[in-house]
Amino acid sequence: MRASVATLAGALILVAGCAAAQERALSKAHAGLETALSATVAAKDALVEWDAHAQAAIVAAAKTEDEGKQALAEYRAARAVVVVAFSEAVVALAQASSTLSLYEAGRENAAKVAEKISTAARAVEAFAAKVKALRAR
Amino acid sequence: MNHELIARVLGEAIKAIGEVIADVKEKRQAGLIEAASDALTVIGAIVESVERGDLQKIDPAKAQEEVDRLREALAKNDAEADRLLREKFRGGGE
Repeated sequence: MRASVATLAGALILVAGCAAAQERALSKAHAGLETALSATVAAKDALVEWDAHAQAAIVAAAKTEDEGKQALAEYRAARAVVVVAFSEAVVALAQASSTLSLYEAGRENAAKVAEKISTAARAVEAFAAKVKALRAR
Repeated sequence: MNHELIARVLGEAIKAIGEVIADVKEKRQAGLIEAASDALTVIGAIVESVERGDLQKIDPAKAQEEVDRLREALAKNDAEADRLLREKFRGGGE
């Protein structure tokens, strides 16, 4: 028992030396997720502003009311894909953040954190690609 | 830190030390330091973060709130575009 406690104490002393490096890595992961969320939300705000102009341009180009309605409906259907992508991106970011916090609290493993962060990164990338595709229509 | 958290952190520490021992048995001497360092830094992070109480910086409710805001903003844009279309072809009448 004493040997076990001594081993654990020794390990915890070593931990103090290693903690700073791990702390930096985790802070970086948190900061990365927060930055990704801020960038995604900012991209959403820009999308809303651009969307108003895009719809106004569709109306301006319409030769008849029916043609305008049809063009707006087609545009909105294309836009719906972007809304879904945004939803998936922010939910994935929140899940990655929660998983990271659970890992920090010792209730989740590092592999799960890595998987969630990768999923979030792919979701953000997909959202950005869909915004770009919508704007290029 | 409360007792439950201390117990959990120590439990993780003991588990990680077991993993270090397993790594030592499996790996060559060159990998020993890295294996020990990896396991111990994980424990260090757990101890530090639990002490800091640093949890849930981006919560799922906030994510849903952002999605709702986007849908609301786009719905306003849609209504405005529909109004502009009506105005263009009907002179603002219904």
